[in-house]
Amino acid sequence: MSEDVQLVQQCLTGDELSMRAFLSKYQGLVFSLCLRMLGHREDAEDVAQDSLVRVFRNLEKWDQQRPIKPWLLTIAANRCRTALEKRSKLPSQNDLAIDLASERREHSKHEQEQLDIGEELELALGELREDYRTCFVMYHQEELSYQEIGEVLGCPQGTIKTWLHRARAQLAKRLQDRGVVADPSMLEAT
Amino acid sequence: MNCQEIREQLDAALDNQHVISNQTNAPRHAEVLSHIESCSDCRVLYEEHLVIGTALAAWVPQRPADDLTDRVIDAARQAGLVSSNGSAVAGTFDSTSMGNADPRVGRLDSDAGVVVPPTADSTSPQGRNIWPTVVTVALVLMAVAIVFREKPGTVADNNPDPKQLVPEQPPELFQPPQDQVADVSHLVADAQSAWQGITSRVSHQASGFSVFVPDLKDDLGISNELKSATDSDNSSDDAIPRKSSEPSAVEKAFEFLFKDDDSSGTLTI
Ligand SMILES: [Zn+2]
Repeated sequence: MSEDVQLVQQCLTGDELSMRAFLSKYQGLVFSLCLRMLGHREDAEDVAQDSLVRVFRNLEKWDQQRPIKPWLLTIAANRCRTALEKRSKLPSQNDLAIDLASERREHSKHEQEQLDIGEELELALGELREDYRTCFVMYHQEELSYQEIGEVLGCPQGTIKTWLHRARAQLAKRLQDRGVVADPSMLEAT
Repeated sequence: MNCQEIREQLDAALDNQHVISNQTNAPRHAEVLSHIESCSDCRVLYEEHLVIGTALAAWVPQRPADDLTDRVIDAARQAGLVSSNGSAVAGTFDSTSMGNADPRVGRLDSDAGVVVPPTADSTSPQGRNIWPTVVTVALVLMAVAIVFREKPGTVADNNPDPKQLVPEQPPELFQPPQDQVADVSHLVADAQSAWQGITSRVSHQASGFSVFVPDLKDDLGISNELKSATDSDNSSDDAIPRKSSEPSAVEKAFEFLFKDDDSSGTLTI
């Protein structure tokens, strides 16, 4: 019996400690997807909460022969789409990027530090198309496979692969535009 | 390597979450550097490859607020998805705690019944938790029944003043104009007397639920209301139909009395 199967079976009994262990393992993943799809931290937390309660409510429907990540992320993605429909518009600008930019200004003002390259990546991500962004984060941060991302987003693997490559290319250009450059030593033979 | 092969190698490296460098794959790195010396297009691609790789290495995942776990657990509990079969609830619950029992405890018990499968381990503590509640509710109901059985006059005793029975009607409505006081004061007195007679009669007959004022009940529309009052669940609030849109029995009695002066003298109960 896999670790996930055992944990899910304990959650199905309503055992709070097991449910907390499940959340500790997967709520970050669910939140990450919600954040990338919605582009707004508070909305993402609300939808993640709703999604995780739905996950607990429907745990018995999970096919234990299959990985659980795509299954619970599919639930979260559906909730995000519903939230976006309620919002009646797709996020034209990523609020997370705005939040980070605001934090950056405060950071610079108070500590005079350079913006971390990871934060630059967040800012650049905020300017991407939502499906590119979600694809990139699911692949590079949450380490889902093409197939798993395809299941979550309801797209063929080929589409996911195309989106991922486009996301990388666009991010690289945006990062370079922001002054992030490759280490020159990497471009020269030693 | 040609351009196509270089691009495939760069993509494959990022797919595997790393960049091609002299540290990760020195031979491949040397091949790439050799190629980009003479291919500006692939040099641009390799620079982008390194930028992405560097950013990914510095990327810190965005994580939710610390209280998300508690929020989810609370919401799951409200949805009946969290069991209460932990020792903290089942082990300390007894009938002495019913006086100030936390309502969440009862909800948790019922919630647990929704999701916990019927195994020997889980049903037993829940069964124990149900009985103190059942016994206590039964005792309360018995006590209420005894109290009201011993006080058949409760309905009237709780509301001895006719004015209290018609709260919507301000007392001024029953005060005649000054120039007519002499003419109608006796009618008011008769009405009060009539009501006292009614309540007194009810007091004595409530326990038997008998019908009274047989000769006036149709005109007053009074017997069914008061009978239903004594038939009710002994609650003083429910005993009097105060919020009915129809005129109350007392209002009808007063209306009857004021309409016909002669009838006041015949109102003997
Ligand atoms: Zn080339």
